[in-house]
Amino acid sequence: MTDSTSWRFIDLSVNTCYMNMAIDEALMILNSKNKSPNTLRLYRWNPSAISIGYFQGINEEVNIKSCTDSHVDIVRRITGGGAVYHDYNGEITYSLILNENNSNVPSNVIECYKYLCQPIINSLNNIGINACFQPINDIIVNNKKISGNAQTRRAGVVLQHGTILIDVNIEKMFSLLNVESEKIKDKLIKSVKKRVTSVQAELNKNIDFNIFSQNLRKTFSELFNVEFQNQTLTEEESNLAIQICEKYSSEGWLYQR
Amino acid sequence: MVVSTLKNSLKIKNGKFIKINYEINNNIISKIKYTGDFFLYPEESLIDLERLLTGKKFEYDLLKPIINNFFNDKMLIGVDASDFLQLIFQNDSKS
Repeated sequence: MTDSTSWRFIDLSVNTCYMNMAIDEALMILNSKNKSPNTLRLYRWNPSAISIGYFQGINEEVNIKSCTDSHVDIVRRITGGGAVYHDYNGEITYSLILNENNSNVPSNVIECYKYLCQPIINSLNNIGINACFQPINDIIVNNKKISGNAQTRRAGVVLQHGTILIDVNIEKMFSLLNVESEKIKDKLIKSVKKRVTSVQAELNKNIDFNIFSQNLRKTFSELFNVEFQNQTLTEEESNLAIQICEKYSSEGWLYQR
Repeated sequence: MVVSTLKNSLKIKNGKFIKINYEINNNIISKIKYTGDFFLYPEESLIDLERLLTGKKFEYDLLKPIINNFFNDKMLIGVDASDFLQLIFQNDSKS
């Protein structure tokens, strides 16, 4: 039996969309300089927010007026992938910041998604949801998506963040996102309802965010054979995140595509 | 002067979406922007491809090696280099 290694666990915290993305980037930068440990971080978004992928066109994807009217923030991620609605009451986001030199992350990107999604799948299995991985970057239950994930790699560090849908409101989601044609919106909502699910929809009951967070901590620890240390951000990490946060809240970053 | 504003999109089977918005001005690409939910590492490099293509003649044989060479040392997930080329030459006129 191999000795387990130590990673940091940052328990469920609540931030703005800009700060959530800034913290992930700050941890990635400092991990590459050996100033920040391998970390599993869990977080929620307040206000609720839309995050769009690095390459997505904001006007193509987001109904900006509807977001403004609903007090929903919008942020562009550092990672590719699609638009996600992060409802404060409806989802948990996780991020993993792992150094390629001292973790076992596969170098192949698709293999890496599968590897890093497995603890989430186990966490869902633990509460009675039969989830599995679907390439490229999704976790599904009976062909319905319950988790989307996005990954980037810089300077020897893998950042993967993703969403776990706890309770999803498709109508609300579609009121905030743009659909190519309003004529097909109703049809599309029906179609998406057949392709998206949540913990609540699968179990037909609400689950406690904190209990599910501890479930995630446990499965990550077991599967990757790591001991988690419960810690918060260091002063250096917080200061860098505050600096980077300015980028994420700027119009130049948001409207670049 | 003939200016065409063009757009096109592709959904790759078992892959991702990729879209293009661009302008052809007297057979020269005067503007070009790719968007979509694909993955490319490093992310910041996409703007370099768009700069490389801007100002080039709208000619398949000229653009093909530029795009292929660009992606030689990059990692693309969910779309292929050929999709970036195909989008330029199979377009729907917007205006």
